[in-house]
Amino acid sequence: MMTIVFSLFLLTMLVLVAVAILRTDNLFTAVMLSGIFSLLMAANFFVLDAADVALTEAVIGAGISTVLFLGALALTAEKDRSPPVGSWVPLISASALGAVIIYGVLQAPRLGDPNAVVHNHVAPWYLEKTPELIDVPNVVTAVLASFRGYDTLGEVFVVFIACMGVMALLGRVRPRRDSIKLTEYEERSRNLRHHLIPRIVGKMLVPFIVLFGLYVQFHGDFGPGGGFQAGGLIAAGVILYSLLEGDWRGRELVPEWFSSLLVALGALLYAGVGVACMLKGGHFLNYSVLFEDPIKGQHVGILLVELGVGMTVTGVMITVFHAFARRGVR
Amino acid sequence: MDLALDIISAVLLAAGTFFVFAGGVGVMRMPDFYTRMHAASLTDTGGAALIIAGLLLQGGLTLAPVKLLAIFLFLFLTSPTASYALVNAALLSGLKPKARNETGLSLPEGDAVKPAPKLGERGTNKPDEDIRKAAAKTVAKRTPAKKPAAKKPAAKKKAAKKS
Repeated sequence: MMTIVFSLFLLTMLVLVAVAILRTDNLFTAVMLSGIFSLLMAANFFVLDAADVALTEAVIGAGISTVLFLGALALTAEKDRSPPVGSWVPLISASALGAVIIYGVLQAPRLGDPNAVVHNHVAPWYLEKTPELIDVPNVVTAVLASFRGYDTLGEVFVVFIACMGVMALLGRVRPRRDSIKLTEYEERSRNLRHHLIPRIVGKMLVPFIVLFGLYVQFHGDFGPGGGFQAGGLIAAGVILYSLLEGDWRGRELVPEWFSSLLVALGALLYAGVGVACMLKGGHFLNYSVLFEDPIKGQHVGILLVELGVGMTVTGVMITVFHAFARRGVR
Repeated sequence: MDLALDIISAVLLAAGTFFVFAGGVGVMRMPDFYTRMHAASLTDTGGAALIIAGLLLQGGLTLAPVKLLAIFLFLFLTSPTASYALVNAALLSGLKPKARNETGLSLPEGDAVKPAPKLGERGTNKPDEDIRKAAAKTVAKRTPAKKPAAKKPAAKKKAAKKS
């Protein structure tokens, strides 16, 4: 009963925030509201018992993408240029799409319905076989890293390619010197050093954020978490440091060659584990063959694969942030 | 013993709820940004602290109270900082507090509330001049004064190092 009341409250807030995002013409407000939207969504996922997804949404959606949006905003104008008013085409197409979606939702099973299709397809098999084949408490990790390892490999490469795209667009090329007439000292003074309280408190939190990231990384077999969430958290720590001390200090802390290396190494580690399985005589990404004991093989395989995911995500987040931050002066 | 704990935790939870509620009313009813932030920080720090204290007593001897304590420490540090940063940003960007004269409070006049100096606007405000002077000093300190022509490659090297 409480759950349903709480879900209703969260969903109502979601709709309100979504309408507010549409109605505001200040892009800064829109970015902040989208952060709130993500946080509400994370709470919603948590109410639905999807702790792993909630953690991802909170870290990536509410945390890092807000910062990246702000970085993009620093390069453009703050006000939205409104489209010409009075066009009926968007209204009609949006209404039609909305009607289709509502029609689709009407067909969806009720919340928690045990006879729903998703609960009767492969999910029971995963739940039944995880203790026997993989023996980790967190079934989500078992599904993500082992049963559906191919999908996760694909996701890692999607993130990898997205990072390549950002690098190709925003690039390693330094903007021309004459377009940014900043001396070295001026560039180095672009930070929050003069705001003493946020700086001290923020710096105090950085090690704990990174530590929590490592906990989420290596505790992913037992509790909610894994490579994606941990990568986001560790990158958030580094990004917080860069925001407080200026992006040049952030680049000294994690040099760009290192974050780029992480991006490539993580993907390589993941695919390498798969190849190692093949060399051991099994299928690609079938970790059971890695050791004599198939369960131990699964454990080590999942650990390595999650580490690869974490490395890639950390590297991508830091690289993309620096790609934006380096252009930060209009 | 259990009953006493339950009563204390109920009292703490009720007090926390009251704080949160009062903060919410304050955010709705207060006249301007600064007073609203004052009310909101009440919710953030006082309310959250009391609620977590109430929950701590309910946790028993498990790992949960330790986690709650960590959350409490985190909130205790971050929410006042966030309130401070928000208000400071508002003040620096030139938002003046509303104050009515019949209460005896007076508005800060003139340049008591100055807009933030922007780095981009050169030569108009003083902090920028300071930065430029300091920049000239650091450049003079770091580059050995041999030939004027030697300056450019050195600057380039630095740029390459950074990127």
